[in-house]
Amino acid sequence: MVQKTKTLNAFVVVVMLGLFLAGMIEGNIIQTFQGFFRLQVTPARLVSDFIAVEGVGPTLLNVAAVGLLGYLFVILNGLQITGAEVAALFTMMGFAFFGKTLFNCIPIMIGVSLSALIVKKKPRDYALIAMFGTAMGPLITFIAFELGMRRIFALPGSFVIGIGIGIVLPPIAIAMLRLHQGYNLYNVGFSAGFLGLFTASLSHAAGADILPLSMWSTAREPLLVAILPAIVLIALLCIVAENPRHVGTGFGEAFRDFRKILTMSGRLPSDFADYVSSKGSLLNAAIMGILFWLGVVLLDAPLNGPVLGGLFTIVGFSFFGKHPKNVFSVVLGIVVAIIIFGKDIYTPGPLLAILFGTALAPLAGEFGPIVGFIAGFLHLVIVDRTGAWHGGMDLYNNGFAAGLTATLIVSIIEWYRSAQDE
Amino acid sequence: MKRQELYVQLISELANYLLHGNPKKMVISMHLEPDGFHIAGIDDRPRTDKEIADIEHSLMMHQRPELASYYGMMVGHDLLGSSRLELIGFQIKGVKVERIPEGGVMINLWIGSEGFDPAMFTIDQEPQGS
Repeated sequence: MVQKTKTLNAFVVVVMLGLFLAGMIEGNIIQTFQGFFRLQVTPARLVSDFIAVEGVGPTLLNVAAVGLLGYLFVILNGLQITGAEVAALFTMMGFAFFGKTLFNCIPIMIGVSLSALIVKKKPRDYALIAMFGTAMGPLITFIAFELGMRRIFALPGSFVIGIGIGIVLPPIAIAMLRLHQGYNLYNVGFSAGFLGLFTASLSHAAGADILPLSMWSTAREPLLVAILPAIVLIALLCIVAENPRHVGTGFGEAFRDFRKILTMSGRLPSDFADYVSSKGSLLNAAIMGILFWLGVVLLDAPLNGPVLGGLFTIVGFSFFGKHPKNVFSVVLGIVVAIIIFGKDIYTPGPLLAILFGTALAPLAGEFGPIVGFIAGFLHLVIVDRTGAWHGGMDLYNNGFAAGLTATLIVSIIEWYRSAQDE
Repeated sequence: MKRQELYVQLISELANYLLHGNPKKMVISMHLEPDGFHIAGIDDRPRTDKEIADIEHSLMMHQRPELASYYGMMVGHDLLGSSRLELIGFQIKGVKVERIPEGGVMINLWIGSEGFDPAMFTIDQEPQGS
């Protein structure tokens, strides 16, 4: 295992272990486990803040368990932990604060692996799709526990449908990638939203309308406030650990590589750890994490499950496409749209749009800040509506909206550039 | 993916990269070898040592099956924006970049099966990308 893979491996393992221990010490261990098991049968569609449902301890245990599932999946597939894997693992963990559970992730991961075998590939070839694809988890929980079917049919039925969803996800994800040409970092979110349109419509046709939920905690638990700074600290310690005898040199190299990362567009697949270095990407993740965490704290916004999920996803994608330079104009566009349209920044839609709308960062990275600003502005407008289209079944609703926004912008730029060339 | 489709995509991405440098001349050749195929792209645009090192770095990404089978589907297809040799780098087994006497570069790519055997290719040394 090369040094950069070792460092990123250590980073992920220490974060997961820390979350597990934090969950264990937060309260009574037996009650924590009971809460964790109840989360597996809790409605998981947007927005189901698990902290509001079962509290901090069970939620952190769920986050660590889903992270471990993803980690074992990577290891069993013989893959190395690099930027793409860190992004996928942090996305899985982040959404385990509000929707993903072991129960609803496993069938999809099996389905995607089967999809690979069907086309004579190896499961590792679609490993990223499998990990990101767990965005459709709420559908499995919905079928198993909310449709009102007898458990004896509902449980195996939900499992089979989850596998089916997993089987069809890769072709959709690959097709969707071509629509926005890699300018939406949450491509599986776009794909899952597309699929969610059909599942929600089928459910509607069958007389079982799926309505989004609104479970959103507003309390600020000190432990939850401390999670992001702790992850940033772990990232910085990992930089030190690469060369413990020359800390100054290590940070100097990390800063030099961070500056290299700032010159990249971030378009998929921009694996900063692979293209540049693990040190540079760890520093990028630390800077991105602390900047957005400070933003949330200074706004006095809640640090609940979905917001932490957003912060985790930002940290993860700081290894795979996002950096301060390419997210700034996108966030600015979203904030300006919030102000112009008189939205309440403390409500789930706008607040999560600021965090997850950074999926559009590659547009700013490739075409400049004005395009990034327009993308952010349009994103806020559309993300408000897309959640209802799939009934909250696609946890990456912002990825769905970002995919639509990126497709629109890419189409216009492509048309304009080809007309200019003539 | 059908083999013919892969040829077209890899050639398109390589051509896209070379054309971004506005060359006056560009030649791309492909020939089949016992365990795969060899693509060579030649242009007449002079490049600095750093530019050549960057080409090599992009193409020498190690094998990433999880990226190649997913994001690699964009190779030679989604050409808006900067060309991305990395997408080729995930899929090839060998690479050699060299200056040619006319002043440009020659980029050699070897693409083979899972059980790639360099000895079955016309590679004059250990493939740098393997």
